[in-house]
Amino acid sequence: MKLVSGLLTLWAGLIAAFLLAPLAIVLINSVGVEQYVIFPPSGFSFRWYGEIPDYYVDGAILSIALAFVAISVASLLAIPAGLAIARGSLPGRSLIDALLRSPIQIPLLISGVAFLQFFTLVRGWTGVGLADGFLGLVIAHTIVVSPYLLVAVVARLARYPDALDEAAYGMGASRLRVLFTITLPVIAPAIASGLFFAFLMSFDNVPTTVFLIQSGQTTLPLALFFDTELDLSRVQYAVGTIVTLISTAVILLAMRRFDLLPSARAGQRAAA
Amino acid sequence: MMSRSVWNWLALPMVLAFAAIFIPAIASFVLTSFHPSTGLGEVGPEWTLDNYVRVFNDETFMLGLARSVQLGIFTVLGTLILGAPLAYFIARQPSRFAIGVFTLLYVSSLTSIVIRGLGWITLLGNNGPINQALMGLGLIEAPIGLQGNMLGLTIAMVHYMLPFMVLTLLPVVQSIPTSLEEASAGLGGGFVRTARSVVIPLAMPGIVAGALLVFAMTISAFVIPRMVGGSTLRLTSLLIDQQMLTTYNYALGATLATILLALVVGVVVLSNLATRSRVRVG
Repeated sequence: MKLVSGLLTLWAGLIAAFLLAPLAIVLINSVGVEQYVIFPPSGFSFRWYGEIPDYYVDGAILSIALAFVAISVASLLAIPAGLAIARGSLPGRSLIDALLRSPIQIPLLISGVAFLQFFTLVRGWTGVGLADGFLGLVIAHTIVVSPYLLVAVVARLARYPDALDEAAYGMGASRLRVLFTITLPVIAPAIASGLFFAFLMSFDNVPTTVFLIQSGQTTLPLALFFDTELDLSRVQYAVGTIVTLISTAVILLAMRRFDLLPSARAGQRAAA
Repeated sequence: MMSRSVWNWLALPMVLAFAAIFIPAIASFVLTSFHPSTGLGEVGPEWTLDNYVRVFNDETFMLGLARSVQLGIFTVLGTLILGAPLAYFIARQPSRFAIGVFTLLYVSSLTSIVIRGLGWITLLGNNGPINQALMGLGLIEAPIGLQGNMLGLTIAMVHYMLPFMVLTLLPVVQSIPTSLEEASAGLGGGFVRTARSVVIPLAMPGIVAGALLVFAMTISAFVIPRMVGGSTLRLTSLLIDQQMLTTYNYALGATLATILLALVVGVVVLSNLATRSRVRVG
């Protein structure tokens, strides 16, 4: 079994290299000295980081604003809906649950087609144009990311100790008071974890967004996506490196905070 | 005791939003696929199946569908070959190194897909490090084409999909008691024998679920196919984008989108059935 264990470790090491490769090359190419992108670069320079054009910065602001608004609206929809699904007695509960989760199953590209066609129809009926602007993006992103929050809330409430709330009711607390001072604070980490995934889903969404931005300011990933189709430049690698470093730091923090590592739990489960 | 029905009202905002926006949005493109195109971004009021007849008789569209399915199969095989041993390794030897690889898998899966695409364009390019290394080793004379073909696209898609496969397999492997493997080893079964007759059969629900998930996500993927596959590989997702945003034939775009959605939903339903029947048997 020593041999097998060694081979598995080697396999995992090779996969680690495979996983790192595309990120590593983005980092290396971002600090190359020549204007023309060649690998390996003949020298080292940070100058491309200073030459990032403004529309990338504007794109980042738009992406962050869009993601924040989308997850805020999604919270108002999905957290109450999660409470209703987990605790209520909804008629056709499993059907409603399946409907509200369904955007997860539908490819982002198809959602983009769907919203573009729907917004086109809405313009025909009412004259309100949503297919090319912030409001349309907010609507589409909210629908697409809200199931992630719903799933997090429903899963957390499934293992919620009801005795906690009942004790408070027993002492005469009102329903609203119990909800806001006990239930929501207890499930807050699950909500935070859902918000985190929802934010990333919105921030990095290209396949839906591409149908809903036809003119003017694009989001950051879309700007990078279109620019790489024209020509590769050091500046794109610099933008990629900055985004990757920030997102990696946030993801590592979130993994720690939300207990997403398999370590201790895996050992217990395997031993059981 | 509180009555449970008061909670029901809290579902109302989200149900209304879905009833007013999401369901009509899905319905609007499915219905559009049954109307004729009458101009840029417009369809006529008549009902017709012409769009479907046209798609199923058009070489470009059928080739696109075939290529999407082909890419799906290649990517499933690639992620299984790479991911199954990795999931086993992380489940059975949760050392610091294994946790590190798991963390890397997680970080990779959440890193911007466009940036991963940029990385793969660079790696797979004719002057990229892969071709340079192969030429440096004397294995090839001239750069082999890795951009705009199935090989390069499959490599990048396997990178994209590997976390989904491993994260689906991991809990299934963790749920297999180690005592079964010890028993097999005690009876003289080597690693390969134990894997073949104990671990793989017990992990089959996870393998099926992971394969169907990766397949469904791959056939509908957009960013990596467009960045790495480019315009030479005209996969279904790229043809949809082209019909909607370049030629503005909404009817044909909607038809392709409906076919792709039907494929994805079919795979998801299959996946649910497979998981459920397995659970009942197990």
